[in-house]
Amino acid sequence: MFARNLNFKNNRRFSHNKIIHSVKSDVLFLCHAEKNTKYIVDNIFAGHCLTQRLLSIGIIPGEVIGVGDISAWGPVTVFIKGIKIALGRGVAGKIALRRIKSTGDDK
Amino acid sequence: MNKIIRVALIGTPNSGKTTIFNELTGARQHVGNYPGVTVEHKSGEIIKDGYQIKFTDLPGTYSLYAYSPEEAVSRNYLIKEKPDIVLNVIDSASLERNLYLSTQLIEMDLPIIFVFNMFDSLIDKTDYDFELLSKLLGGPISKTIGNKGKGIRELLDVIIEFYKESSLRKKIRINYHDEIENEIKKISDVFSKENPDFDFNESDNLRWISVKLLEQDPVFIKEIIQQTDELSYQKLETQVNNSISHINNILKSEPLRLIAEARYGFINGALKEALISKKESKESITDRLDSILLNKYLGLPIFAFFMWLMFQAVFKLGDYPMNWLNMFFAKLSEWLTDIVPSGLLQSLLVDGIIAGVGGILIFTPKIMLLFIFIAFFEDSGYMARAAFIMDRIMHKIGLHGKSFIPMLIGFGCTIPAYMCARTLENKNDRLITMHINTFMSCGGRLPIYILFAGIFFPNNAGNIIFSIYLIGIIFAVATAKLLRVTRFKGEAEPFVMELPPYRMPSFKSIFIHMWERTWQYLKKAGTIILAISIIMWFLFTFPLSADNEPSSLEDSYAGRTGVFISPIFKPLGFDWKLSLASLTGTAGKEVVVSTIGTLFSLSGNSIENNMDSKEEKSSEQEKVMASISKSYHPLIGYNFMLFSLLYFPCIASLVVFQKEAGFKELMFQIAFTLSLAWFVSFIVYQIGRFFI
Repeated sequence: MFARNLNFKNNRRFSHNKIIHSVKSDVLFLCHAEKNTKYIVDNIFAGHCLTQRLLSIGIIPGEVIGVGDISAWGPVTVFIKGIKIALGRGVAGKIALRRIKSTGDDK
Repeated sequence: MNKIIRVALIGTPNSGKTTIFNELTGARQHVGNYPGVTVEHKSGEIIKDGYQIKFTDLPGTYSLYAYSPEEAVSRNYLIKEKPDIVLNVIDSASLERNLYLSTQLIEMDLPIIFVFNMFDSLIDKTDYDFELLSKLLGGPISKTIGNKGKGIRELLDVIIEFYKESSLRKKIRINYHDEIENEIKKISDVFSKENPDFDFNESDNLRWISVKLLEQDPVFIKEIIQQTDELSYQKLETQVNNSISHINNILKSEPLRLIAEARYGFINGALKEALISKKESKESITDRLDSILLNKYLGLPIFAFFMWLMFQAVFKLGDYPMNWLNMFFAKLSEWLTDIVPSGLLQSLLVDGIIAGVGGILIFTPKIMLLFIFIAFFEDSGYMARAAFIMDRIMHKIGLHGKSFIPMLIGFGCTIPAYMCARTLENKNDRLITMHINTFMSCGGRLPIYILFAGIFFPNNAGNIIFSIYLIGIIFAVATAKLLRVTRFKGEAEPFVMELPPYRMPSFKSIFIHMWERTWQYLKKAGTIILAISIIMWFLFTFPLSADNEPSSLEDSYAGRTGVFISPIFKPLGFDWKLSLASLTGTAGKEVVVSTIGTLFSLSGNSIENNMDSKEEKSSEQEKVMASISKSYHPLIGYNFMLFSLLYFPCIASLVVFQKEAGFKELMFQIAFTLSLAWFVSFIVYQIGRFFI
């Protein structure tokens, strides 16, 4: 009850609005990223639990992320904070990245 | 009397926490390199300098958000048990990521010792001022190399000193944005006013509780609902809602993200401040190996090759020790027949215990080999890659890549496979994986296949056994699909999995892991199967006939039971003997073979003792096999294998199933597998009989 009232619907709406704002700029989703390239995490458009899991393993907005192996289907490997992580394609489709060169505001 | 110090070990998966625990306590526990190996907290203790130090090893967890059962177990333990000291084991190779969990422990205001494990991997890359870092983190730092046993003695000294000197403990506060701090204050005020009896309503924890509420931790919120009255909770809910909206409006982001960012900010700040020097990292061996092992074209064939290698080694290499054990039990039977006067005692020892338990024990070498391979894959880091490779396929059947690992273990024994399913965070994924694991042919079913395929299809035994394994996999896939659209609706859990660096597993670790699982098998042989063997012997031997001789098979209790239940199995083509064997198989599929052995020959050892060594078959055993062959058509033989494949593995596995999944799921598992086995065998026999 409490959990339902409080958050999830609102959060999702909030995230969805952000997608519309973000996609127009130089943003691409991890599933469309290029192999062996570094990017900056722009945003995560996932539900509450998955967002929390991604944040806890180090995928946070502003962080540099290295894309390792990526193929037309199957999971994607990324390097972040010195560790290698495998992410399913569905998850990769929820992580927005910025190109390092074009953004110019790398942290 | 010794003073007791209660110490909890916590750390992220692959941080080497369990290795440290083993080194500290000498406990025999699995050391894994695969996320979520420790699924329950285990304990051990030592006595040092007049202190009794009790260690509890908590499951590996990335955060204290209670995303998975492991995280919930760890968090609940810390909250409810309130240990004297928390050992936060940290993988030094990835400090930043590992310290994220530490920030949450710091927020909970726990007495923490930071154990920088695998310290050798850190000094190769970076150097820090650890004294300064210790001050910044608020607790002592202890350096260890767990797999080499280095730094353990020093760690024990630190534990005792930390316990004695409360001044070593410093309160550290992780600061958030001013707006968040204001909202934390407001929530804390409402909480302390409305929930005076809450479990952890201590002023020190109020800040942590408020942060958890802002993070919207669903499990935590559920706990609060359970412990507060409705009116209080409504007030709290209103405040939390207002706080979240306020933060969203002002900072244009959710509190969850802002809090995580602030925690990483704290870690970065501390590490930067304590940094002395940093070396550039080169391409690691892991990267080079992964470029081959995870290659999109080579990954799957290499994995398939490893699996083929494993099964070849288990079945071919395992034949030799199995034959030796075979001979040993044959000699033991002969010896017992010689020294024990003929009569009931001799019959009990030879026909009951040796035939029953010995028939199971001869498979131990194969089980050990299988577990050695699985332990090697887990400890080397390849198991996580296997999940990665299989994810694309598993996803097609609505499952998670990680589901593949319990399924693989299921080929060895279903019991550890059920337990391994705990590594799946999502409950639906976990239950589906457990339900379909039944169809992975476990080591206990193999003797049935070897026996029946050998008797009915001597020239194609390998292919026939392979077909049964394959049918099992097909049923597993179909059941997964069916359950996903019926009982466990929804998407499979998103795949997020760490690929740990490849590490050469130590012999000790592989041995411990293999032995723990083998021991479960041996325990089953020594307890349940021993008991069943004695019961079966009794049922086969009694009631005694008028001249005090064992009764004939049909007149024995077992025979009568078989005849009684045979109408159920008649439509499947099974006579009373196969019906009885299926019934005894509920105690363990291995028992099916010993039952059939006893049914067709009550003299000497049961047939399975020699079924693998063709050269050594005695003429008597050949006669028994010929008698089975004459009694049934190959269709019935195959159908019996199918039936044995499809119904639940054994009583012991059901006990574990109930523990892991609950009574309702256990009932479903029993009803579903029994009816599926019956229907499939019914259809196969009824259609097949038109062709014979």
